[in-house]
Amino acid sequence: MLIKDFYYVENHTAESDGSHVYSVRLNTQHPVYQGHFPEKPITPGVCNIQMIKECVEDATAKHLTFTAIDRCRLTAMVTPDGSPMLNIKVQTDAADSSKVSATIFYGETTYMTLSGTVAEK
Amino acid sequence: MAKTVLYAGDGIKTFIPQREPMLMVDKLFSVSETDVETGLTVADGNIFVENGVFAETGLIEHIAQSAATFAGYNDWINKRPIVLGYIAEIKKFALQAPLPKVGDSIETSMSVISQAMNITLMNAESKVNGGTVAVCKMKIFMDK
Repeated sequence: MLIKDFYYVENHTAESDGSHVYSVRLNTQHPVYQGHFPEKPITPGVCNIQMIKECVEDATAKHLTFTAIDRCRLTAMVTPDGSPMLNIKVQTDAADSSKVSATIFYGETTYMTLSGTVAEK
Repeated sequence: MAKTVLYAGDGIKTFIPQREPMLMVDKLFSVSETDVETGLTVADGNIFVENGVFAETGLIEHIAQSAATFAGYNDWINKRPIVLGYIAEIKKFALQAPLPKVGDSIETSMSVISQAMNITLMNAESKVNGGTVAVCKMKIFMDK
């Protein structure tokens, strides 16, 4: 984990379609929130991307870098107080395992969708 | 030749609401109504550094805060309040060289592609030692 103790993985399931879903709980007391932002804690969008990458790393047992992000949309704001629980669904393309797609969601809300390319460090 | 720095270090805090440990811009080289040039020297203690390498997510945050510096400076010079800005969308991010290392100075130039209501779409290019490390387009939502 790049940013130590930023979140905790509470559950991981490998789905029959090859995707992996990680249920994570945010550390609401993390020092990141002292700076983002001092009077309004909001989970930085890049921290969502980082969590996606770390889930792909876990699913593929590789250390990875995003070499390309074709599109990443932040469709709802993640806040440590309002949305401390998140599901992160990641999938690599069956034909080309460097191609990753991911969604962060919880309940009815989608927080982030991402499609990109990873390479081994 | 070293570039002229307009604002550095804590001076950047006039323009953006991010604070340590999430402050990812430490220099403002130039800014206009359409363009901005910023910098970040990667410190050893930066939270996006692992094994001496600055992660791509840190680089994306630096680009987002460069856009925030652009918006914040233009608000400040026009005597408007500084508002929070968020990444709405990242498009066509491409890493074109190895990631920056501790001690490297990143220089980022951004220019406005389009602006409508609270959404600004900008082009970004980040360089280290004159070589392009990453490019992307970023859509920023300003919470006005």
